Formats: sequence, structure tokens, C-alpha cells
Amino acid sequence: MSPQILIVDDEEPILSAVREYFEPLGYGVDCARELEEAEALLAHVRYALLIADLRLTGSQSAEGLELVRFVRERSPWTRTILLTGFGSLEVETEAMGRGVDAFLQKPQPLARLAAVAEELLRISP
Amino acid sequence: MSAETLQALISRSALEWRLTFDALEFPLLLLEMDGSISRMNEAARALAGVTFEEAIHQRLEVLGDGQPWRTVLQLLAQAVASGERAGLQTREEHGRVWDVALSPAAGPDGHHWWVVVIHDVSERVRLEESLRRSETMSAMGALVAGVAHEVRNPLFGISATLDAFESRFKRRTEYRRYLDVLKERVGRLNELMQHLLDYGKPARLELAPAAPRQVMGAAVVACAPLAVRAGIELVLDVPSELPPLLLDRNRVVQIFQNLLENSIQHSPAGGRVTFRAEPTEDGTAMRFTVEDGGPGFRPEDLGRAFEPFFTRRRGGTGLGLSIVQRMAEQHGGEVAAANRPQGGALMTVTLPLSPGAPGAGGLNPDGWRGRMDGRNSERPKEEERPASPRDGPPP
Repeated sequence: MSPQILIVDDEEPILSAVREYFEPLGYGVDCARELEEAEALLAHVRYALLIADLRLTGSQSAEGLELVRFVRERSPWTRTILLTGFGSLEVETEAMGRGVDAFLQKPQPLARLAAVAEELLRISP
Repeated sequence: MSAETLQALISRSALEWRLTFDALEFPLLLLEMDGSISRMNEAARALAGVTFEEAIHQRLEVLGDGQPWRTVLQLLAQAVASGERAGLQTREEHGRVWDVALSPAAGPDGHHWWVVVIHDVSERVRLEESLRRSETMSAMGALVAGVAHEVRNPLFGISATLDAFESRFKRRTEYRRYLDVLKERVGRLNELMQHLLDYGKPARLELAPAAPRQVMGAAVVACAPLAVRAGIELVLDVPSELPPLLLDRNRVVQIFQNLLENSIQHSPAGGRVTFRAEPTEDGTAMRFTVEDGGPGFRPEDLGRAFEPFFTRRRGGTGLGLSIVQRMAEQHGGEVAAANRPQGGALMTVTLPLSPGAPGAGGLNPDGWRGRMDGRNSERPKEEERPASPRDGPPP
């Protein structure tokens, strides 16, 4: 069965581009734009990987961290990648503390995102 | 009171005044109304390099035509014309800043003098300027960082769409040239955003002792692929025994990396870029130099080399050297651009052994917090985090 991925970002072009790129690689891809939508999907679908933007609702938000926490508690089999245009050591440290598996800055070539995803799923328990 | 006692009292009083006068650390002169020197204290004599005998009753010109004496002469002319106090702050071309004041003083017998007081305010002025610059920079930094972050999201939308397009239509060669242009432009925008973020990075440093050779080596390793592509030989010439420096390693690696990249990009293929380090003569700082065999700076560009967005390189952001200057200043250091006599550019970065060390130029007033501000991205260096998928910007 192809691994299921959940992509969470508030920008539609990013969602559709990542979906188009990952599907031919053999992944099943779901998309969500909001925290609640993502949590609902995570509660019902067994995702191998979550790729989430750090901020979904403005420059001060950090829903991505919320999602990582949610995954660690409710969906421990899901690997996590956080993406952010607002990278900082503090946020990265916080994310690592919450158990995120990878932290990448935007923009990022999708080939690299795919390589990180593949690596995480390969070493996945 | 006998004449002898009176004489002794007067001598004693004169001695007390002379001792007091000479104990003042700043230059002080008493001039006759015609401008001839009546008294000058030890600090003034030392500054002018004259003895009491050489100066007394002489005209001011005997002190030479350098600063601050030129300003004293100028103020004297002004004060003679107005009969009032005159003051001025004056700056030597490459050095000290003087506060000079000239005030009228009258004795009980109606005799008049001019009292000249001179203060070296270089350090204060330097700190004030540095503070002003850092205030401007932190305001600008916050703005620039905000803009850069906002741009990165849509930029990712564009680059991701291009990647998806490319993977879907990779066999359609007629799209190739459009894709190449778009991807190259997106790469350039991304580089500009990264530079803006680096430039706008808050001044707070995370200081730790580091061996110069090791920090230089990290920058050389990071630049090696670029050097190979450009056909440039990178030479690291460092004595093995150098004292450690207290520095923010990531930022100093970036300083060196920017200088090396700049030199590589301006060198003709087959050329050589040499990276050296040596302690300064007074032993309080380390001097790092990067030399290349490129065309060097145009004379008219030398003064503008560190200006943000100033570049003559096609595709350059014009921020590389500005970042170098900003980060060097955050360490209490400085950077200079010059041309080598035999051709090519010579970049010199001087960093104090410790940002607070005496003679080191002091630390940028908001430079020391011990903890880096987390609002901006640190650009992780490849050689520091090779094996982890937790990585920074795209290669």
C-alpha cells in the first residue's frame, strides 16, 4: 500500500504543487489548510508522514507546533516535517523539543523535500 | 610678615597652581589677547610635542598646523572678532575627534586672557555613532526580516509549482528554456531574501572561544565547491599557533565565507585566492586578509564597497560586503577594502581577541547579550550538520 501523506499549508499553490509532485512518486496525498481540518484528518487516517507549515494564520501563529504535539500524542506512527519561511533557532529548538523529525526552510526544492520524506519513512519504526 | 615669608608663600602658591594645572589630563592653554602662549599644561605640551621653554611667549603657530591646533587658531580669530567664547568639534581625517573651546577670562587688574580647553572625545563620538547606527540597523533589520519572511512563502509557492511542472513535463523539451529562466530567477530572489535576513539579523551574539584556524577552515570548506567550479585555487595560510578568539562562530564563518565568495567570483579562472591570519602589532586583535588576483576595486568604488545594494557584479545582491561589515562591527571589529599594489583586491577584517578587550574598538553597544535572538534564521553550515535531514536552505 502506498504511504499516505498529509500536507498542511494555507497557500493553495503549495498544496497542489506538493500533491502533484508526490503522487507520481507513489504516495497518497491529502491536503489541509487549517489546523482543525488537519487534526480531524489525522484522527481518522493513518498517515505515514505529515508535512506542515509552521504558520497557518498569520505572522505570529505556530499551528505547525500544535500539529506536531497532536501527532506525538494521537498518531505516534506519523513522521513529521515542519516547513517555515520564518526559521529561527528558538522555533527549531521548540519543534525539536516537541519531537518533530525534520525542520526545513522555505523555499525548498521539492526534490529535497521528497528526499527527506523518503529518508524519514525508510528509518520509520 | 617678612619679605622672605611672603616670597615663600608666593612660590608655594605658584607651585600648587602649576602642579594642579599639569595634573589635568586634558590640554589647557592660557593665551594672551594677541594669541601668544602664556601658559600651557603638561597634557598640552605632550600633545604638541614641545617643551615649556619652546612654547612660552611664542605665537600659537609654534604648536604646528595639525589638529587640534588648527582649530584653536581658527577659534582665536573668531573670538578676537566677537570678543566672546567660541567652541568647535573637529575631526581629523582618519582619527581623533576634538572638542575645542576658547573663552575670555579677565584678571582684577583688567588684564585679559583666552583660556583654551581641549578634549579628546573620539571614544565618546565613536560610541554615539555606533549606537545610532545600531539603532537604525535594528529598526531596518526588523523591517527587512519581516519583508523577507513574507516573500519566502509565495516564493515557495512559485518554486514548488515549477518543480511540479518540471516533474510532470520533463520530456517536453520546448518548455526547458522557460523553466530554466524561471528557476534561475527564483534562485536569485531566494538568495536575495537570505542576504536580507542575514543583513537584518539582530546584533545579539552568541560568543564562545574559537581557534582562528578552525573558523577559517570552516569557511574555506564551505566555499570549496564554488572555487572548484570557478577554477580558483583557495590557499589557507595560517600560523599553527594563534590565540583563540571570543566570537559568534556562525557569523564569523559567514564573514569569511562572504569575503572568499566575493574574491572567487571576481577572480579569473586559474587564479588564486589567499586567506591569511596574523595577530595585530599590539596583540589585542587578529587580522584576517583575503587577497585575490582579480581586477580589484575601481578607485571611485572603494568608498562604497560596503554600501548596501552596491555591486558591479551581474547577479550580485550587493549585500555580501555589507553583511561582512555589520557582523564585524557587532564583534567590535572592522573591515577595510583596498587594492593590492600588484593588482587584485585585498580585504582586511580585524577582530578583537575578545569583543570587550581594550584597544579593540569596543563592542557594538547592543552587541553583547550572550544569547542570540531567535527571531531570525541561522543559516546552518553544511560542514556542521552533515548527516541530519534537519537542514537549512536548499543547496
